[in-house]
Amino acid sequence: MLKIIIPTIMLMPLTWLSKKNMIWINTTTYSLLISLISLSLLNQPSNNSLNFSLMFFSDPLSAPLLVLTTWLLPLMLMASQHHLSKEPLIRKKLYITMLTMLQTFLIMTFTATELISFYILFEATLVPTLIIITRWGNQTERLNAGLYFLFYTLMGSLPLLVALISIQNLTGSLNFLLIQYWNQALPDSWSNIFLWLACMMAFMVKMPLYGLHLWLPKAHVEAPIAGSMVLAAILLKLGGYGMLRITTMLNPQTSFMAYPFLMLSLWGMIMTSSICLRQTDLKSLIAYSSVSHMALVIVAVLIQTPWSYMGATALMIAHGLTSSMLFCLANSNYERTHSRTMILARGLQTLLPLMAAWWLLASLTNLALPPSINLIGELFVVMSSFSWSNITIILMGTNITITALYSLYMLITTQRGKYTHHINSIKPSFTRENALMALHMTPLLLLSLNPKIILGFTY
Amino acid sequence: MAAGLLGLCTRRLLAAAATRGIPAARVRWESSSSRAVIAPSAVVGKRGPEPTTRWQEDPDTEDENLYEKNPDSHGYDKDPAVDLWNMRVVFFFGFSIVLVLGSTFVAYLPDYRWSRNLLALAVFAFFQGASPRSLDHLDLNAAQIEDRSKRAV
Repeated sequence: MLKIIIPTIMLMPLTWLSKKNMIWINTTTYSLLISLISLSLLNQPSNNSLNFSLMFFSDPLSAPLLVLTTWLLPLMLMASQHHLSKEPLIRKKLYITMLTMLQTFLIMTFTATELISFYILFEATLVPTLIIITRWGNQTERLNAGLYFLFYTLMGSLPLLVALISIQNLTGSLNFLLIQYWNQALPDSWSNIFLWLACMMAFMVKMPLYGLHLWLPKAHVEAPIAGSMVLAAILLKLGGYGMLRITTMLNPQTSFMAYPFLMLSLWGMIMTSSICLRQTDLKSLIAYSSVSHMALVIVAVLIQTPWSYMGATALMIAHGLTSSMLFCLANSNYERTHSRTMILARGLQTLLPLMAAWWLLASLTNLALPPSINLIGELFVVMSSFSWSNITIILMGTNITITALYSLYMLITTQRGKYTHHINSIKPSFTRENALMALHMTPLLLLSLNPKIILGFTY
Repeated sequence: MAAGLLGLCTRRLLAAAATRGIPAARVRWESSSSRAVIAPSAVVGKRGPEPTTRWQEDPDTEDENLYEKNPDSHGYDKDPAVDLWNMRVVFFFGFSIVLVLGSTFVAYLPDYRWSRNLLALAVFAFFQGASPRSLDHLDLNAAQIEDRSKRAV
């Protein structure tokens, strides 16, 4: 793992020691090379996991998430170049340092063997994200957004710390590799019910579960583009990853404790999809869409069947790439009109036809068009939830319909129709923007040819 | 009512003239039914006072159009040389190196489930009493991957 962690840490001195006109070139180049190295983790020869050391390991669940994390850093750097062009050099370097620090913590979080180490790194990712949102966000609401983001996650995760320490006392170890062989069921008692809640709430807030999701639209909307990208693509998946790991030690309580959260997720996915239909703010629409997709992942994780785990993993990777791309597209509008209001930048297909093609592809993958991996993930989740309870098909089907509705609504509002009279002063698309969209879409389309690498450890 | 509508149209015309700076026709209209009078401003041709807030839709005056100084701009930097090299680096490392080499690597990853199955069969056969030489002649078709569709969903 050090072959990925050390180069990532070294991106920080690279940024500070680079010449003024080379900072973006150097950091983009090396972060792309780091993402190439991380692909080697997809080679999983063992049935169990790839153990690098006592501290780091990877298995078919964490490897795709790690590759997604390392792939996203160069994309974030490319997306941020324009809005930082007016900033002083020191602040540009600070921004890149924050992104790199976040990247390092994320890599270590996904590969940590020990749960306390996972927890510390999980919390550590909050700090650079908070700095990015509150320092480089565009509106005054960013301060409130930062507060919501920080305190929602902290409130959920402090009980987790207590629970982890208690489990460490009970079992003697919190190592993932050992805990999977811990066959002792948790006895049925009130304290174990609270233990279950304490363990799961942090990840429920992170996902986020409908009801605890209020931080997400604020944080996603107020964050600058790199902040929105990393929040939507990776940080939400930390919650999913944590839930997938921690449920191995929480049986048999999960079978009955999961019910209220399953209900909240099933209902919440419809509510948040419906809210998307009423949004005027483009970034807010994409943020609520993320809540809806993550609700599917929560359902999958709590059902705990092999197919649902496959669906959850596939959906996390697919949604990561799709929503990051949607935020980049929204940002390309924002850089031109300085507004997130959808109807202010409408009819763009006539003016920016290539960008319209990217909008179309992103909207189609968002609504899980076959044969994309979004469909594979959603379909696996729908099938396993139908198997769990036949009646969920009604809610799932409604959600899929409404997802299609708001994705097409977003596409049609921004691209079709007559453009507004003030919009003829917008600049044509840059190569940078088209390359950014292509670098999002190409892995997504390539994965639909070989989805088995993202189907997790139950494949 | 016709008078009212006429007054409305005149007011709209004069308002449009005031905001768009079109030279206003010297129209003065007096209502016959009421004491309403519509007349252009005495200082015709001058636009109304600028609003205190800019229209959000107007291009930001601080926005630099990269295409102005460099029509071949790729959107990375103001300096054309840095911009060009940045574009080259992104395309070379992003597409040619990572996507091409990476997808080739992933495509050629072996199917470990098959090889593990085969090994398990061979070891089982060996412990059942098969001679060690039988390991040299393994039935490659015997290592069937489990039919996942028959598994519990």
